[in-house]
Amino acid sequence: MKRIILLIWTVLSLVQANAQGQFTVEVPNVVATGERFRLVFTATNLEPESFNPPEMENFMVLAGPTTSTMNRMEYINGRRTQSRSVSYTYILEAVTTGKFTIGEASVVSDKVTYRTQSVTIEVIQGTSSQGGAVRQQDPVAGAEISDQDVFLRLDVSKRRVVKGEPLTATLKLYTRVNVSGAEDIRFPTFNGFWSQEVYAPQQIDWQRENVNGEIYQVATLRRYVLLPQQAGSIKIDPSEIVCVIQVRNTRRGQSLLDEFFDSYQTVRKRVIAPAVTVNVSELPAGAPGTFKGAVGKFAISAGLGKDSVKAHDAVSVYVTITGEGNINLLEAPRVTLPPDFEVYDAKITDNSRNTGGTFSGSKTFEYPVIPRSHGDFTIDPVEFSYYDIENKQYKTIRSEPLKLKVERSTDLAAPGGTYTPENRRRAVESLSRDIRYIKTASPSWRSTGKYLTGSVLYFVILFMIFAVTGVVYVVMNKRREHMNDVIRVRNSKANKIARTRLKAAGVLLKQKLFEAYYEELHRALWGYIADKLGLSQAECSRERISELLRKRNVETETISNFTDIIDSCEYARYAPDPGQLEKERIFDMAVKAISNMEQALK
Amino acid sequence: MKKILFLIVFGLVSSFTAEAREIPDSLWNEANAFYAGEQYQDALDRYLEIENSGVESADLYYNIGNTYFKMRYMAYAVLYYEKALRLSPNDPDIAYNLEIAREQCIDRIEPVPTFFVADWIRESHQIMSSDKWAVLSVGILLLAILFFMLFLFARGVRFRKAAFILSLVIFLFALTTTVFAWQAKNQATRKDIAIVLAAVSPVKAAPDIQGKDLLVIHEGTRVRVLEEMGSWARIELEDGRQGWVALNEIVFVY
Repeated sequence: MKRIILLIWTVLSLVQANAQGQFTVEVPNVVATGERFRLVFTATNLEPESFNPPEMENFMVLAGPTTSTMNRMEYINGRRTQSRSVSYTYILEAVTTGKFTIGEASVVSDKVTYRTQSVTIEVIQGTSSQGGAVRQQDPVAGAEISDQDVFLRLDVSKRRVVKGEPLTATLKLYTRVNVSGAEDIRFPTFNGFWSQEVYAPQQIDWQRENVNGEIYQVATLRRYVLLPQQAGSIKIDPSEIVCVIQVRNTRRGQSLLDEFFDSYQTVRKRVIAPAVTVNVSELPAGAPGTFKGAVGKFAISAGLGKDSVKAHDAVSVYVTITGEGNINLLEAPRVTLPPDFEVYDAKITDNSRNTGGTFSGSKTFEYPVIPRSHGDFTIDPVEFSYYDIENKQYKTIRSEPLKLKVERSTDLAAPGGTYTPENRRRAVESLSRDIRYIKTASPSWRSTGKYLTGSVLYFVILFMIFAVTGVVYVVMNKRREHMNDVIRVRNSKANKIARTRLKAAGVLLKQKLFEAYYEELHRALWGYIADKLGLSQAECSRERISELLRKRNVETETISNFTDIIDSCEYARYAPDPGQLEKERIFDMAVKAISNMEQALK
Repeated sequence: MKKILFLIVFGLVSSFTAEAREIPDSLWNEANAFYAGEQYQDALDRYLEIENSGVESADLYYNIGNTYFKMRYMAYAVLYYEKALRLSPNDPDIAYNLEIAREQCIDRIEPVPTFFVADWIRESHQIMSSDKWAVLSVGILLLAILFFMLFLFARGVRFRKAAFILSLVIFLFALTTTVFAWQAKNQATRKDIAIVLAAVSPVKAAPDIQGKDLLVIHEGTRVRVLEEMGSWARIELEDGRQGWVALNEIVFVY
């Protein structure tokens, strides 16, 4: 169902568009009581089948509706346009003062109903009783044309603005007399404003307007949009116009003919629009860093020409600011690009239009950018600040971040190709300078102002080191002395013990206990030399003894004699019995070796 | 007897290293997080809380300096970097940031050039902090004693000779490091270097408010305090010029 309605609607709108049909109403917006005026409904390019007039109970209908048809054909630059219009005209007379609304009228054409807009007519108290057209008081020649009869006025939409806030200025000519033309027009100059003419009609279009209960013919000569560029009370200089006014000759009543055909002459009058002062206040303090004078209400968006690009190829970054305010004066916002991007001056496309006293639309800044390295990059949001007139505060808006994929340039990476040396190396640039970052690892805390050096602990440690050293020294010393004592005792007793053992060996020899005899002899020799040298039994070996003895400057012969006799003892213990004589000889040799050694070690 | 000795040593050691380590560490991490989030005022509050709790470290002062720098309080940044440098004289990060903070200060003073050998000798103890020197000196002393013991009790004439010479050399080292430890401590605790914290500070010819203005120094300038008299301090700039400033306009680094 909905679809069908939509379809019908589309078709209807197409029909309308083709026909370019219009149904309009035309009526003066201000009339005086007792005045007769025309109310015209015009159907252009339509085939009206039925006309449905609105209620007109507040007005007296003197005549109508009278229908008239008009065909028009135009050739413009060889193109023919044809139009046909049907109009329904009423002659009305206003009866009571007030504001009255004439409702919608409608016609049906091709089964489509066209409606007019409802119009409001202001009825004011008429000054003259005779019902004429407009009370076009043609002043008599010689009579002064007062400033009330014709005057020029410059209206500004706002008297108090902030710097950069758009306002409109309208130059209007008001007249009650028959102005046939204007000369020597001096339009206002807007010093301290950036100005743009937005309405400059070729032909003067007279409208009616109620000024303090009087109906004036009003012509809008110019309309400007102004953007204040400096603060303070700025005076807009007066503008001037010389009006050419038709006045009736005084000569009258001579004949009926003179009465019937008035004769006119033209009079020139200079009218001056008074100067207007606009108070422009400075923007409040506290503007953000990115503020560059934008005033109004804006939105920002950013985009890329391509999402993916090769290194060293250009890509465009678009920043579009839309909204209303002094959009045509916006400066290019700063785009922060990743390092290694080259950016060139922005190309600006201004799509702003003047609408109802302010600028609105969009302004696009296109920044050509060349990435020099490959990788995935994010372009930071573009920041833009403006002064919001409605909320009277600064606002900063930012676009979305943009992602750009830069691929490796194919120029360089030709696989298998020969390497062409290219001077791509350059110094690493410092982009900015900053302090180094804080340290985040937990530090080793120490009590403030306490130092190890000179503290009690320090001295205690030193004291303890020396104390321990002292103790160790004493202990070591004692031990050494003790050891020395032992050695000395053994040394002094060595001979005695050896003798005792030898004596015991002699006894054993006599008893013919040979095994024990050799053993005793052997022990006497070993024991002697161990005691003499301060060695324990475990440390005793033939080599060690020879070495120690040599160190003590004992002759080699003495040493070899001594070791030989030890060897003989050991050998004899396990050898077959060598006989009594041999045994006695070994005994003598042992005694001799010990006494020799005693001599040598003295 | 042994137990008592152990208790005494343990007590001394623990009194020396900060007692309450847990609280500063959590505050420390919190402050670092605030710094990372660019909430410098919050970070600063926590760092200063740690400082006021009676513990310190070069890193703490360094971070406080960084926070002040980010908040554009250059004089305070310089002050805390100087404090950090006192505790850790050889830290390149502190020196680098101090240099940058100094560049942001108003007064540019050309220091009087000094003889480099004198600098070396004067600054040789700056390689390490006083505590580290102290620990090192104790260690070296122990080594020297060990070698001396070897000399006393070892056998072998050559070995004992070597031990004796070594112990002498090492003992000399121990002595040097001990001297350094004391020097570093004196340097760190000496109340001589101060930073001007007042935005503008007139340097007078006499310790008197009516005194003639000799020069005007600005915040962040490093001065050497030569003497104090009442509420006045006689200061010397790095270029050698001297004068009197009110004590409440400068803060000592120690």
